[in-house]
Amino acid sequence: MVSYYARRIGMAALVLFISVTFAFAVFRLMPGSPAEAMFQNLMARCEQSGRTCDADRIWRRVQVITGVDYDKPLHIAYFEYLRDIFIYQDFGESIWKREPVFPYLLEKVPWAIFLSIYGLTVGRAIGIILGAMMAYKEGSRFDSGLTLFTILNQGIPYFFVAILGLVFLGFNLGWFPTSGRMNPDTVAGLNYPFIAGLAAHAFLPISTGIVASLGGGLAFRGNSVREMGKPYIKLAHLRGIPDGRIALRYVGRNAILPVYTNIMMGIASLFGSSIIIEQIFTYPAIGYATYNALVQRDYPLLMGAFVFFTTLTVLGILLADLTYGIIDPRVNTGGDRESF
Amino acid sequence: MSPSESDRSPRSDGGDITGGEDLFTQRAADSVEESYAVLLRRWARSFIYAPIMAAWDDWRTRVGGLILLFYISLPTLGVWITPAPQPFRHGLNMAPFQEGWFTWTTANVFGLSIPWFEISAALGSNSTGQSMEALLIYGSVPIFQMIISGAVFAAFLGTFIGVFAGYKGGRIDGVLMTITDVVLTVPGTALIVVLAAVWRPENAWVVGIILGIDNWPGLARTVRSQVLSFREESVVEAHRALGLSTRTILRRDMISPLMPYISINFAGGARGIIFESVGLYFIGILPYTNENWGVILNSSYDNISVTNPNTFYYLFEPMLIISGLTFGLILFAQGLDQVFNVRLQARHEAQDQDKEEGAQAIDT
Repeated sequence: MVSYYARRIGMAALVLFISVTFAFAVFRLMPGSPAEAMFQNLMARCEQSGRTCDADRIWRRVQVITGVDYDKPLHIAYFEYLRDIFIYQDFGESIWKREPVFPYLLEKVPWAIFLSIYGLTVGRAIGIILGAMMAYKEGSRFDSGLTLFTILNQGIPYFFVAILGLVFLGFNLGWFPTSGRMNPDTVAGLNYPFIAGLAAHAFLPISTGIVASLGGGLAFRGNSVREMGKPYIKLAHLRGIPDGRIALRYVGRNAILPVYTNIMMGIASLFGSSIIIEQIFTYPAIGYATYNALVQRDYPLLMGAFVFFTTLTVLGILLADLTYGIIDPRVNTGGDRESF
Repeated sequence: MSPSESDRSPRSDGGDITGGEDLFTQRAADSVEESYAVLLRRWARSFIYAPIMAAWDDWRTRVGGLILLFYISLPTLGVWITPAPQPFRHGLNMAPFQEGWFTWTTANVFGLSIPWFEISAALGSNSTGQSMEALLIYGSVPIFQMIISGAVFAAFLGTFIGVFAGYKGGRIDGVLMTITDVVLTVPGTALIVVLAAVWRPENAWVVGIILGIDNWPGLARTVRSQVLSFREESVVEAHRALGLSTRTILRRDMISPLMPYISINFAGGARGIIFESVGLYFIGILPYTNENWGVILNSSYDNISVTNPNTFYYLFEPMLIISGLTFGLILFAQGLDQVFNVRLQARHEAQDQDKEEGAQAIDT
């Protein structure tokens, strides 16, 4: 039996490998391939500029841009593509920005994480606290009211919050900036104007992320209610253990396990939703780059962003997986966990 | 039940049931000729009447079901009684419920004239003079096409992979679950964006299937873990010993008890598809080939004047329509969970008992 941690790391490596293979397949194997479209695109641009256009030269340029060699046999081109990405971090060159994809996207990684991490952690924490309160007051008016609120929250798409926030608080009332990620008049560093600008620009996107992540509350409520009915909790009460300790160490710790696995799955949709949120707020991080890559038909940038998103997601899930052992020590001893 | 082809072959225990099999396998029902009407009535009772009555008991399924019924009437009935949205049919930028939005008329049905009504731009009109209600009603058609194709695709794939992996076990299980985990880990929206960029899907049915791609792994996981417990039950053992084919066992003993899970997941998948399609059409990642709710929301967003809150109804109307449908789906799914989840019900009963017994002990 391979250990839990080794299997998780292996899984992460497999997903990364598959996503890069997918990117290669899109360039090389798709009918009516992006390379063809890029060739037409460059040809048109070249003709617009009025220079003499040599088809051979442009075709060679397409190969440089994508990093995929179309003249070599499939397996060699594939091997070289993998080598370029994993060893030299060469993702090709952006057509739209006319610069290498990797540094362009790498600069945006901290912004993407900054924007997503608060939504995930704060949103889930609020959800769990609400769930605990609902479970504690099970059956009361407070419980049913909050349950209805949670269902409403799940029913309204998160980007509606973004649109309404932008229109009301951004454009109409002018409380928050409506685009960008920092105040251009400030100097980056540990000074108040810069940080204030940062917070003002990030407030609406992060609020949207928090609203989008509230959902775990109902599941936690159900788990807590179930756990509270079990005999060992009764015994704990009989032993005279304080209520607070029972709530946190006994009920809470057991009820949070399924929610924690749920969070892992949430990570996969987290960066996906950032494409929509960043486009609405014109917040230049990876999601916005993805959107522009698509609009500009910039395939190297698009595939680079896809691989970046997958990498971030895989790392996030790996982190959650590796810390899972802390809240559930059974994973080390009890063989494999049955569900994800 | 008549013995199938495989039942006639000699058994490994030496038995041979080719002769005189009727003696043991014939049941009373086999010899009675039943009229189609009786069969139809029985089928209706167990597959239509009983589930509806069970669902009606829970307020969430009741409200959710009524909401869903209303929304299903939009692309079917609504399209039939509302004229298609046309530019300049109404005044430009009319506010909702303006003078003359509702008039009594008469309609001719088979030569009979009955009182009827006519609605004219009740929800206002946009900047090209199309009435908002006609836009929203006709916009529901592609949305429902996407929901149906995407959620059905996800439900089929998830059920098939989950049941097959759980029942077969071993290496097949390992391979299928690895595939499921990979799809679960790959960020779904990013994958959809890439596929949308390469394929430029124009047909709403195709868009639905692409959106359904990241919806099946969750169902496959749930179904598998259920099947793992079902396959140990004695009835499955008995059916296997009787020599029923794998397909029959899967259909009878695995998939029918899983129907509640599958339908709950169907509702959840439909919600996900609405979110993603509206979101991606709104920001303009999917090509505008039909006037669905996401496209309407996008043009409404461009149409409003941010300094004049009176124009915000453009934004609120599509938002309310979209949220209403997802709200109905969630209510319905949660109610179904309550109605069908035997474990949850049993637990609730047991807990109530516990409460009565242990009330004094805890109440100190």
